[in-house]
Amino acid sequence: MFNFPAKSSFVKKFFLLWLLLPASLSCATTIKDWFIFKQWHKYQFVYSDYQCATLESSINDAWAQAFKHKLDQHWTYLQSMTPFLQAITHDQIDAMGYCIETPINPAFAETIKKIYNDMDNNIPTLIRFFKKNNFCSSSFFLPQDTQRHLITIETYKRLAELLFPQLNAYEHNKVLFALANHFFEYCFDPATFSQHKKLLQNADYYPIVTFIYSIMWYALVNNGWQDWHANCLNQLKQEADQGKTIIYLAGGTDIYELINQGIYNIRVIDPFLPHQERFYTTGWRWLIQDEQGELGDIILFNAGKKKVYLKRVSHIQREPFLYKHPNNAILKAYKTITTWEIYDANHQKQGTVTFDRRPFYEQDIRTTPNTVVVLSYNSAMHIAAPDDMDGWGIDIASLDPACTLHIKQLRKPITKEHLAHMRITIPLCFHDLEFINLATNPL
Amino acid sequence: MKKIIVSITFFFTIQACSISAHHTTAEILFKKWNTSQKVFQASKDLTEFIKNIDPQTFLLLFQQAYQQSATRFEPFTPFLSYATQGLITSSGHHLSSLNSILLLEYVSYIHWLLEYDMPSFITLFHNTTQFANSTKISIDQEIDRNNMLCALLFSLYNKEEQHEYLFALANRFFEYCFHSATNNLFQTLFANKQAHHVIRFLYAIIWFKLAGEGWSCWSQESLTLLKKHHDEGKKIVYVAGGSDILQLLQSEIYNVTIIDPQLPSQPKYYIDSWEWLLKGDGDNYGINDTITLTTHSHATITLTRSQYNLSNETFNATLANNQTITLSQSTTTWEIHNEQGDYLGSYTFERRFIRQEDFAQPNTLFLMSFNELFFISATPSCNGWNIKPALFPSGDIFIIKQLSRPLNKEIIGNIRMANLMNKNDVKFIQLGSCIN
Repeated sequence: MFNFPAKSSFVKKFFLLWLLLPASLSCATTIKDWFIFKQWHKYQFVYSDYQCATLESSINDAWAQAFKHKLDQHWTYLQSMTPFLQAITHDQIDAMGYCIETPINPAFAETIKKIYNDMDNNIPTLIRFFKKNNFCSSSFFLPQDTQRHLITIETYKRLAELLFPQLNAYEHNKVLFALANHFFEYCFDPATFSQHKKLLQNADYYPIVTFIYSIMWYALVNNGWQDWHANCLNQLKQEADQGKTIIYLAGGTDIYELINQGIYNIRVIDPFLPHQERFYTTGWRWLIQDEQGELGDIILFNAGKKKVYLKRVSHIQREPFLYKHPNNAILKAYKTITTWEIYDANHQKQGTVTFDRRPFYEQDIRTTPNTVVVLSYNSAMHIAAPDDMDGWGIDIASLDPACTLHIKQLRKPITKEHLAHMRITIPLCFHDLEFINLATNPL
Repeated sequence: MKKIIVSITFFFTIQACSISAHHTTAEILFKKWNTSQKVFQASKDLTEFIKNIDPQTFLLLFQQAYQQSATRFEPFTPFLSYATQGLITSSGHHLSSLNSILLLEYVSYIHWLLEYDMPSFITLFHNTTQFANSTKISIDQEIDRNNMLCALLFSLYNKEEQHEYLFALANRFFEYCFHSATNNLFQTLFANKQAHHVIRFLYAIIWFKLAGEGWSCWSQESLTLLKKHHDEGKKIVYVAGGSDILQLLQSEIYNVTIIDPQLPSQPKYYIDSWEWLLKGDGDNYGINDTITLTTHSHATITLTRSQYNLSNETFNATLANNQTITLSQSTTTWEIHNEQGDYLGSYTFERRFIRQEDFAQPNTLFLMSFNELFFISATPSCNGWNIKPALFPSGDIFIIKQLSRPLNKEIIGNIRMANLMNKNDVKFIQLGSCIN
């Protein structure tokens, strides 16, 4: 058990009171992790890889009924995909409507099993299957303005729901997170990038490429911007255990899962722009001592692999930096370095979390023997993007060929080659597909 | 009475037309093309070079060219050392009449690589020219230097023959960069700053030989291909073809539509009388004007202006000085007849910008110059014409007048990607840039 001052039992009340106090009267305080990291505690998920093939045994009569139920729910959206649905259901859906047989049509069941298998192991085969089965005949495909983008994404989300009709929302998100991972690898891995490129170079295939991007965007940005892939956390833990510091670029206050996993040497480099505070936790200003906050402040972590506490040990204010507000105003903030030390229940120091408030530079993404870099999918897209496409001015070509970046939502780290492929895809997505920017902020 | 008036009016109209009709010959009208336009064999076998030159002559020319610009070739010394098997080194050269046969043989190995194994040549060039990246020179200087290096490898007395080899070499480089078999290899160069000088080398040759210097040249292969498809009944649309029709007519290609805004700010790309070709003099705008021409197979043909329609529609064009002018769309048709008066076909000049929907026409080949290939492939952010190659029909339907092989939309898509990567990362000359 921790042996903290008695005030820890009144953390919440005290914290609220403390927020009301003038800065000069404030003093070091102790709060619990769930309070300061409430957003992560409540809404952040850690997904492990999902094998759709494990659902094969459930493709039975009940599955067919659930499929029909989903059709009833989503028909207004899915009607436009009739040619594809007709092909995969073996004519149980056509222009006149749908009639799903029970007991389940064996050919239909086999087709669904094939789709599950391809989703797990073979995206190129899945794409060929889509091409062959009228996926590109979708009549709704008009991705030219925001409203249409949303209809497109919504339609494809409902299609994905239809293909997994028995899963609850959590499991469904888990499936889409895994599928988005496989799609990401298909799009940007050196082995299959040329196939992805061919889809982008031929408007006939735009419905397929839009489906891929919709799932990726929904699962990794819109719904999944805060989530972690279990593989990524495990890989970071292994690196941390070898004594490396985790450099979390544009990581904001997203350290909750890292600490719960036992990763105790973290350096977050983030400008902490106030207009982006919805991506931080509520107490972000306190965490980086932008307001209130004192040396000696303590945060208790009780939910992780090990009970630990963070203690604020230093705060340094440096020169100011300028940033651009979305309303184009140029504003000023101060570079600061706030250091929290991590102790276990026996008050043994386990490591350090440093919040380095500043814009980041190209050298920050260089992996050194003592560091490993992690960032979110969205940030990776901004790093890869050219300057005129919301890029962050990183010269990808000059990065070390051995450069490796861990992406919190992805099961495998990415390389310089992935970034180069993303860099070329982003403007083509904008100019040709005229579809949603892959790095667009969550809605 | 009414009939008489009509007849008289008709008579005078005909007279007026015949009086005002202007007659000229292709020799006069297309003088610019006659004197400056070359037709090269773009698929010329580069390994033929060794067979047609005396080693002593090659040595002399090579030595001369090398010595004249030895300092500029310095960054290429390791490459030249490899190419000459040590006859050129960083401490000087050992080129002498004693080793002329060896020199030609060594250099011909480079020719062999260029002809049959471009990926190996690129690897060799990359590995032996690393420090060419470090010296900062202007884009123009780099274009010059790279072209001088290639000219050195194909040193010839006959400059036109040398030009043809280099034109063919630019074709090989183009194919390496953008054709599907090697485009992935080429794209990896963009991701590596240490390889950007290789891209600049390739672009310097491609741009100079096919656009900068070669904008008016034709490949024999493109003319042959156009003739074949024309004879099979395919429609030919010459995108931004200006008044560049001499070679087509001489090759007996008789049905072509030219879509070009014919901007007054670009006279150097047109013939002197380009305006007359579009619109003749007089009230009827030159109906019945004629041009006579002798084809390559010595047939005499006559082009007769049969139609001129001025549209109510206008279009705006931004000139090089950023001034915006408004021009009227128009259509001019020239019918072609042989000596016996048989109708052979027609050339139609549509004065307007090309549109996306023009590319959707079935059974059509799209002819364009290398510069225009860049503009249709480039995104608006790269100064492109806002055309989307992904929407083009499938098939080898694009014939580029300087290239030996037709292109499909995939290749144009590869150029589109490369334009973006060049703009964002390499920042070298864009392939469609005009000459100064």
